[in-house]
Amino acid sequence: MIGILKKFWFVVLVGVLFLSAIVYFVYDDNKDKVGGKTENGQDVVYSINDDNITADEFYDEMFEATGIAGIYQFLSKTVTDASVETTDEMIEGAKLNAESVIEQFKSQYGIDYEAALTQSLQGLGYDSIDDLQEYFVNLGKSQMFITDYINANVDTIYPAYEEASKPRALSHILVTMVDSSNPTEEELAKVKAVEEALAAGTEFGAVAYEFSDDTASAVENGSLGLTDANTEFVPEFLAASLLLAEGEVSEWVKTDYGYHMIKCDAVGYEKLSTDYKDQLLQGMLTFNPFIEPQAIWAKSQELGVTFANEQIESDLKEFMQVDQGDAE
Amino acid sequence: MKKLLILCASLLLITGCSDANANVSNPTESLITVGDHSYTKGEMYNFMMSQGPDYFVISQAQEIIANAQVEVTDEILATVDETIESYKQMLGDSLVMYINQMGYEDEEAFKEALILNEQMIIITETKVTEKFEEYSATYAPRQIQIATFASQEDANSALASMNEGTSFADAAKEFKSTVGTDTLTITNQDAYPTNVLFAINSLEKDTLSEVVAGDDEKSFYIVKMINNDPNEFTEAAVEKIAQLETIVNSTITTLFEDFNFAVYDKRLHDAVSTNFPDLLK
Repeated sequence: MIGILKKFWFVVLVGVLFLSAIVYFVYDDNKDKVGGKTENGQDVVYSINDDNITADEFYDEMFEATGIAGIYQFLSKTVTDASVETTDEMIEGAKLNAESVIEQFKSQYGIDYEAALTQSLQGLGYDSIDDLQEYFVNLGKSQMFITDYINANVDTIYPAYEEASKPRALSHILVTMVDSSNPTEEELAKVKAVEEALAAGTEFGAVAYEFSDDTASAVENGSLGLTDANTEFVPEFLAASLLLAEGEVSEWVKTDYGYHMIKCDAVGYEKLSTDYKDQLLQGMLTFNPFIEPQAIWAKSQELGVTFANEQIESDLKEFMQVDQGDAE
Repeated sequence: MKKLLILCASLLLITGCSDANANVSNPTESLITVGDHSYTKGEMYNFMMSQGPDYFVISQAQEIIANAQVEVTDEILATVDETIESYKQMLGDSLVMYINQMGYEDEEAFKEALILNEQMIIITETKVTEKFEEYSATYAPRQIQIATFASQEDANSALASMNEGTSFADAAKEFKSTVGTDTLTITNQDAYPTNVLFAINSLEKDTLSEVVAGDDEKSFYIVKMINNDPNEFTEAAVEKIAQLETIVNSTITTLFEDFNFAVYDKRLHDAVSTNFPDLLK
């Protein structure tokens, strides 16, 4: 043996160096890799105190915490996908939205934008950035689905919202004051000018445009858009606005901002849904967050839905606030 | 020679191995089917693994560790029930909403979290007790009374009154201290103005500081040193030190190390490495 080593020492040296290089290469390539582990044929997720927690055990624990939300996400996506046809317009809009979001993430996260965006998408049930356009298509379909459902069921959904939240379109004229309890002569002069303009028959919107100190609404002829009992107005303003009938104009309402004159421009589904379609829809969804799950559930019954077991079905119905009666 | 070649080939094959991803044993099992579309257990598992599984694992592992170290006694349960009762009195019908906002499914889950918290407090306090001398030297626990005044004039008057024999609490109240004067156990990690911390460090037992201006010079402080020897108020000192974030974090890190916490799933490993880098060794 020693004789062979002496005779072929150079070959042996090269061999040892070669082997060492391979061993190092293998070590270096694997040192940061996460190794797997199994127990009784099942994959282990983590271990602590010599306890192996298998993927099945981990699944059960996690399912208890977030599983039903995942099932609902699937149901919602599948139902809206099956209910609303994808149009070229939707695809084009989704493409633009996806590009815009990617640009936003690039400017916010720099080179790490892909990881951040992927994480956000995974939270929404999508796998990768490639699914971003699909997400926007589905979002558009979901909005269309819920709009169609509300339109079809407006006779039952809107009255409850109207009674509880009193939706209405408002305009106002604001005369700002340093101390509204003690107006200056100049401030009172402006109040008088507003009153005179209205008395002379000038339209409320035109007076708001000319005199209102709320510059954001003044350029819109005083319009505050669609509001309801949940809109975050100062209490005096909100209370006065909710008392107005359609077309009615309030007396001056004193708030910390100054004096407001408020006009109720429109009430009722027909008018509001024409001019404030999206806002009205959002108002109803905020008022009753279970409209959407109820719509999903109703449609899923038409498509046919089956569950692996009664527990999942019962938990999902509870999550969606759909009672057993609705299901049958 | 052949053996050597086989060894080399085997080693090179290992380099092709990818990171491990644990999966459930029956991933194709359907959970729900809508029309022709099914949602499987495997898809659900992947969805859940994308929903911040690291927080879930850390909490679960912490529970295993806590249960191995501290038995859930009637005393712990009573403390937790008391806490929940106080929340109920404070929040009334909003309790469920509050619990949900905190990320707990229901009152039972909230209760479990409170039990775990109590167990972790006991574990941390035990560790602090074991190293009390070292931690006392590092964090300098003291018991003090402190009064805060909006004007130097009030502070000077209060100090004069105290020096004339009026009690700290009465003088502070008389000259409108903006804070209560209960005895506090503090450490050098407490957020007091620099000048106040200096004053605390230099005070002997049962002595009063001068009037000390705050960093903004808009608040004025008087400190009374109740006790500067932590060995005379060990229980309160241990409790205070055990609340320090550094101590809580180092205790958890040590526990995870002692209990050989290891992860065998790439996704989970990445999530834990990002949010809890100290817990993976």
